[in-house]
Amino acid sequence: MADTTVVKPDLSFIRELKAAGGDTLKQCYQCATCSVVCPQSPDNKPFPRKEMIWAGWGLKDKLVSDPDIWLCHHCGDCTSYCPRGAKPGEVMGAIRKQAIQHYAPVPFLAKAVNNKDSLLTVLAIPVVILAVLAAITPALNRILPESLMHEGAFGNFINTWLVDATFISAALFAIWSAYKGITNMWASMKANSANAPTGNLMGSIIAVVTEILSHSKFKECDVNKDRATAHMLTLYAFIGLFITTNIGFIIMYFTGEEGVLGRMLWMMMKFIGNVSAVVLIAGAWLLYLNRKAKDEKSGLGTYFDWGFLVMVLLVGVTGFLAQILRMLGGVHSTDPNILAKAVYFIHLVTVFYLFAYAPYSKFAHIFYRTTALVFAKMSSR
Amino acid sequence: MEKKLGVYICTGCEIGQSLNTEALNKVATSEFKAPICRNHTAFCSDEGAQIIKDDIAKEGVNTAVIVACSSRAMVDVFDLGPGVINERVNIREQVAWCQPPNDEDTQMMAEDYIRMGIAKAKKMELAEPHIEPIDRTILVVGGGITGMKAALEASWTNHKVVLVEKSGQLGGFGRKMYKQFPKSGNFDTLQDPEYASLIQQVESDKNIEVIIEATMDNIAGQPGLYNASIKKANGETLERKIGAIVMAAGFRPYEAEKLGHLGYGTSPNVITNVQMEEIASGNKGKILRPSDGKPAKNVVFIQCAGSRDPNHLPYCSSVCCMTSLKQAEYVRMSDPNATATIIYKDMRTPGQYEHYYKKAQSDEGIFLTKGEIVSVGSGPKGNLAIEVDNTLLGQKIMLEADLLVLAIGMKPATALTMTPEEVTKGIQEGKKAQEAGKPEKPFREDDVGKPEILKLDYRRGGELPHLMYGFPDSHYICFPYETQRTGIYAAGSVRAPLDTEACQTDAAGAVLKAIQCLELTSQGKAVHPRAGDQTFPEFFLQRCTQCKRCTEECPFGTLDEDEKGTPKPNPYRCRRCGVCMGACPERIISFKDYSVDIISSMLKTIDVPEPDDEKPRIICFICENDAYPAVDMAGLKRLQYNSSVRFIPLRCLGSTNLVWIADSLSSGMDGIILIGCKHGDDYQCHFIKGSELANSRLEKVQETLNRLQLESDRIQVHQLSINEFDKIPEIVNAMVETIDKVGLNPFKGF
Repeated sequence: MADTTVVKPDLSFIRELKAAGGDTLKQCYQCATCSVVCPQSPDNKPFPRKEMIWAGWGLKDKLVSDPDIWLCHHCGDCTSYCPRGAKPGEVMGAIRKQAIQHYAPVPFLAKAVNNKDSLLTVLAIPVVILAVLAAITPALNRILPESLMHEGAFGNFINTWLVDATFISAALFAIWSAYKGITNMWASMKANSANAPTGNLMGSIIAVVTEILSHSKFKECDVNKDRATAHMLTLYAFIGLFITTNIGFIIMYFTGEEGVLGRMLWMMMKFIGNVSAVVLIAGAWLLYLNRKAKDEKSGLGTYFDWGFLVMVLLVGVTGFLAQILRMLGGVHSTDPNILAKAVYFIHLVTVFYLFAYAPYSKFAHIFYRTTALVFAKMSSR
Repeated sequence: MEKKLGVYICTGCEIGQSLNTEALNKVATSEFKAPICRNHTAFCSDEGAQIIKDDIAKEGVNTAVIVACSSRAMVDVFDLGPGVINERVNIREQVAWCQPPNDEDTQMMAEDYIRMGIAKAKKMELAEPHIEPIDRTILVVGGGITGMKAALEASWTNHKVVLVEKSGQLGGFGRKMYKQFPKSGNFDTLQDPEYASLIQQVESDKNIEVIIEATMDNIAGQPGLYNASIKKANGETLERKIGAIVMAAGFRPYEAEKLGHLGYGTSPNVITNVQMEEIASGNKGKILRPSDGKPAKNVVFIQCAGSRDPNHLPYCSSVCCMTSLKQAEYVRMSDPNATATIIYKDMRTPGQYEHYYKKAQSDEGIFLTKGEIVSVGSGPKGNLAIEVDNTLLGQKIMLEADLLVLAIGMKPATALTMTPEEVTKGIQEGKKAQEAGKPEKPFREDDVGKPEILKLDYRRGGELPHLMYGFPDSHYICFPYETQRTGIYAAGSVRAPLDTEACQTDAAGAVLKAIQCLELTSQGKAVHPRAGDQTFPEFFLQRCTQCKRCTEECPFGTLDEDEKGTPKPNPYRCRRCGVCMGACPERIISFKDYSVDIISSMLKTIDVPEPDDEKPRIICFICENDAYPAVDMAGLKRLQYNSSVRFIPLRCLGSTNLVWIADSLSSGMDGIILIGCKHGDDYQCHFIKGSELANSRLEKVQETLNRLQLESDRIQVHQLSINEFDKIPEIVNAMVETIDKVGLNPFKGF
């Protein structure tokens, strides 16, 4: 009986999956068309057929520890070929959402972030924090010594020290959350996988990162071919913005804007930042168009997808807009008008949302998918 | 009757181009002195048919031999009415279309067929139908859904009905049901049981006499003329005159006690689907565990429990999948947080029921997987643990259940109540008792092990013969409702495992059959499959030796016998196959248009070539039902075969009398072929055992031939399906090759 698994269908998990966009999951009659058409699925124990029946039976433990759910790029080939309208692609998306919630170290936050009804509550956190910071900024700026004052563009609106302190804390929280999540996932994958991850860790990581950067796997998807391009634009935009942020950090705390190095860095920051912002907006917009156009064939997605996408778009648009509005008062203006301040405020709120909640929202796929891909590589999947 | 012969040789459809018509005419006019012999290019045309009609009207022709196409073609045109003896000779499909034109051998073949046809016509007599006033009351045995619906259907066609029900109330198994399968709309909503409305309709129907708490005590007689004795529980016996019978005795659930390997008997929470239905209807839909009366939370269903299993029921009962899906819905309706898991071999939800299956698939609390049950044991907290292998989940799984439902199949009410060993023993004991003394009633071997339902007063047994697995059909596919007893029609789940909806369709079908029987019987016509045949077997009893072969071999129990063993015919039970005629060693059984003598006369008119000609002559007896159409089709496809063969159609190969074999050999025939229908479990014989009987008779002949140093290869028996026309040339040509090897018949010329 050692090879026998006790199976207890979990009705509440099925209901959660259905609510998370997998409402069609029970339609599956296990014909395996999905696994056959899937360009990502391996020959041995292919997906998403087996995930479909696990989902249909509510076998949560099996699903959340299954690296295969992350091998899926949600291209929708399976959904468009499914003869029964079971939409395996959507179900896989719902499973991933449940997996993210399952591994999230602060479960209620995961629930809140992915629930449309608690959007305002979730946004209220950065809004309140930033409002308080804006409120105390004038007083703080008065008592702060000149040497510690930064030439931040919106520094007079919200003190940059405070902004950085807030966002560094948020980032630390996100890193801690992601670390907890991926280590838990790794452990349960290891416990449940038939193949142990015995391969080379560094080699696998390099291979996976190369794969991600080139989107070589994503491009194999058929129905949603153009989504790969859009996604790649978005990914590179984030990389660019990440570099921008770091340059900004160096300028602010080390070099300043003056001097040869400072001016060079400043130019670089502005160039990379603006290009990235444009690319981000373009990528996210393309993703939006793609989702809208393909909803019949490959599924429309849910709040989980849309909430994230809209937030990405907002970050790009508000960031770019804040810069333009501010510069209406002169390139080096440090006294932005009220409209610029408002947009900047929104920008900060959305950035907070994106980063602090990253391991709890769809953004978490960046951690989980990468980890699962490494696991799959190491276990020769 | 003074016969005046008219021979009509058609020259159309390539016959005229292929054969010498003058020479054909000569056979009729010179050899047989036919007073009238005419030719026409199409006797089937209005003009051609008028020629024959005119001859009958004006020239007094009363015996017409139409030499043209197959008797299966132009049936209506060449129907010359009741006063005329009519023989069709087929020189189109069986000569012109399958032989080279203008060939000496082709011509000889056609001439032989004309000789045989005229010889037959000369011996044939007009049928004298046996007509008696009959009773048209229909007896329905069984008051379940099928029986009630049959009674209503019969009543709606203005037939009186006697409806006999064993229990104290109508409704049968239908009463146990909490809900019924969907039967309309989107087929996704269960329906309330309908027995109550059927009972109400039956009880208010003036044509229907309902007799409850009663069983059949005796049914004597024959269709149209049955005397039925019905015994009531209070001891009273009612006598009713009955015309035809619909047997709707229903089913028994398979014996769950034999399913110990699936846990039955180990826990009160292992139940059958029948018990599940009782729980649901008893608690108004609440599914409560028998062990403690608490609501069931996790219910597992095992499909094919003892079905499709050679050790139990080898067949599929066709309704258990739907039943389990239905009961899974009970579980879900009873408690929205309860789960129902169904382990199946294959889900079978025929027809529109697929929609209901789809609905169940999309229920979040219903789990379906193919699988094989490894074990049923006890699990934690007093639950049952069911281990299942080869599941859709790709692994061996263990399920926990607080209620396990075994989806058991249906056995017909007619099924044996004994094991085969017990039956053999019962027969031995019965025979011994009969030899030793005088048992109360004659011992009837066929009754051993069968439940008493009809209690027929038939020499061959009181109950219906079984086909397979105890079902009383005569042929599931070709002749539904037809049992092996004329006038008795099986309907509902006694005939095949059926759901309530199919049972009601079945009831209508069986009633139509019963009405057809009454109509044809009242006209002295055969019912099935030779519908309309007005001849019946006549017995020249002065020469009967009481050998009982006819009474034993009749597949339909037509013949009873007196104490000495003399057959007592019951013409309305008869299907006119002629098996008795083939069986009779004294050759005393004959029909007006079909007899041992008629076929022998045909044989003897065949022109057998002299030994010096070195041309073999092969006689081929073919079954009219399958082989004859196959030969026609071979002609239609222009398949060519050796011209030495002469086909003689028989009503059934079972009517082959061995004297024909002797006659053929002594007339100098070099080979004899018999082509009958397939026999065995999946037999295709219209008369159930005909071809099988012919086969066993011929085996004995072949032994005799070997003893006489006459090669037994000269006689070959084949089984052929109607669609195997391509084998006709193979069979004929192979016989010619055999004769080439073994040489011509040494008796030739003696």
